[in-house]
Amino acid sequence: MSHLNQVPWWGAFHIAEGTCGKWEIGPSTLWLIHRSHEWAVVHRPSTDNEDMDHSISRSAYYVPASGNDCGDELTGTREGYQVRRYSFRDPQSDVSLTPALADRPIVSRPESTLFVPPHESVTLYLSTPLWIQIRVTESGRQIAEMPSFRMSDTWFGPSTIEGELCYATRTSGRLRRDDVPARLNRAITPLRVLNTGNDPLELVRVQLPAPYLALYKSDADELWTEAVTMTRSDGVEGAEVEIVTGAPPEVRGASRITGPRQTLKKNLFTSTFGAVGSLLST
Amino acid sequence: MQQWLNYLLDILNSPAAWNVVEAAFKIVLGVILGRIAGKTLVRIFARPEDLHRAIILRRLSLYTITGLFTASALMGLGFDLGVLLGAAGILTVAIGFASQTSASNVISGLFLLGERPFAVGDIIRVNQTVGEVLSIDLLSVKLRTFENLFVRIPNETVIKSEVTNLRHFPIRRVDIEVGVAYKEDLRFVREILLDVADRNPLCLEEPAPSILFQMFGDSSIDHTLRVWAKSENFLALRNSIPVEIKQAFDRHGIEIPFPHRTLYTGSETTPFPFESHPANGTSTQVPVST
Repeated sequence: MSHLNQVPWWGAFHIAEGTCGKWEIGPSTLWLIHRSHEWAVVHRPSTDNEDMDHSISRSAYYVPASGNDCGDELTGTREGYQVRRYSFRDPQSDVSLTPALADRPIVSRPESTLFVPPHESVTLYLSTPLWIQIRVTESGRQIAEMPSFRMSDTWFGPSTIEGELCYATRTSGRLRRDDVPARLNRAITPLRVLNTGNDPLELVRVQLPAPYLALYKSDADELWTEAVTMTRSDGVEGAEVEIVTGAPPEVRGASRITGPRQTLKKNLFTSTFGAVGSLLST
Repeated sequence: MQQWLNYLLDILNSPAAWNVVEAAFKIVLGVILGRIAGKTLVRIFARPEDLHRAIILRRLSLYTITGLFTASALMGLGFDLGVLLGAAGILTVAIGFASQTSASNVISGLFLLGERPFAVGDIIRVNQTVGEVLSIDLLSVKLRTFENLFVRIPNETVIKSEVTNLRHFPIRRVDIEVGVAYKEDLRFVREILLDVADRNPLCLEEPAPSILFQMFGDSSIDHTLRVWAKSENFLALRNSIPVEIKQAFDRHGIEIPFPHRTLYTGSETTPFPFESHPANGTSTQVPVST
């Protein structure tokens, strides 16, 4: 897999006072402007052509960006731009950008229905948009965080009374690792679905526990999360969800970038168990 | 003067005076212990976000402990509690007749705390008033409306009327009425409406948005777009969806009609005798030969 024209957008950057940096991550465009005793973070969820499509895959940065890209008008009030300013007593010129996974679980819906026959297992490769965390290197303090693509909200639960708010995304349900396009603005999760029941399992939607997953980087700069296994058995409503700790075996030269946002008290969680079941079977 | 001072000293030195001081001390101690016990119970049993339970625990412990200490103080002063309670019974009947409303509110308040249709911090609608619950007290429920007005609703009114809790469930449906002209392709309109819902990130994908046909109206074909949102995002979605629908309709040339009126002058085929002269910008009524 190769990522054409894509360079990793994350890492440590030195932005001298009076200059700025520009990042293009998925559909998002981000500017970091370094002024005297101040950092301004400007985020626009769209590209220069005002495109906000989730399928846009960009990963590029310009440090320092040209003057045209970092005019004062950026921090003015403009529609579609989110401007946040952070003031510091001591001038600091180093910032770092880190990819992170979503802050809520992600419900993924295959574009076409996929069946898992009895006593079969299948591994799906799901790709989900990344969040961008901005830190001031000196203190290590996070100053801002934003999604590279704002996914739609969705509700995941057996009823409108019980359940949990998640993000929604669609997946093409790719079954081969090599079919997954290399996109540095997204992370790939290997999801193994195991059907130990006696009837075929229809995958209508699956809930990916993104806040509980750690993020890894391969030697080719692809981002992967820990693998997830869902086991569905006869007579039991739903599926058991298990997180396989450590980098997935598919990833060559893996190094951990960020840990999970939330830690699980036990590896196997049953809280999504019922919900997954009732929604998988509808 | 000296005589008065001696009299005062005599009273202060008498055992009865000490009994009064002791009783007062007991009552104060009861109040302090009641408050401490309330706070401790809240810390142990109530989660920080559960203000309602915290209030109940605090009140219960304060009233019980203060009541016990007061009873003990009265006994220390030589009162016979049995007689006092009997007298209180007769007094209650008398007061009850005199203050029916207050008593009813107190009882209603107890039922409200027990039934728990809403908690402090919820957004509720009672009759026409919508607001955030500030407190559920002995006599009334206090609300803060969105205009930042303070509203006191007697507990009895709350018990008797229909109360809607807008924040009880985590998600809520937003209904938006949409009317389109008779000439439009309804399948295409539905497609556009669903696309608008799909693109709005606040609109939940599940439960899925739906479109309900309402009626063939006087001037338009009316539909209701039903979309779901997180309860907190209800207003944001209610305001953003109509803007997006209008934009999408304008982009695709779909007409949202005004009320239409067709005028006839007695005959079904002859038009109303009216001609427009755009050249001089005025309209005049001219005779039309029939």
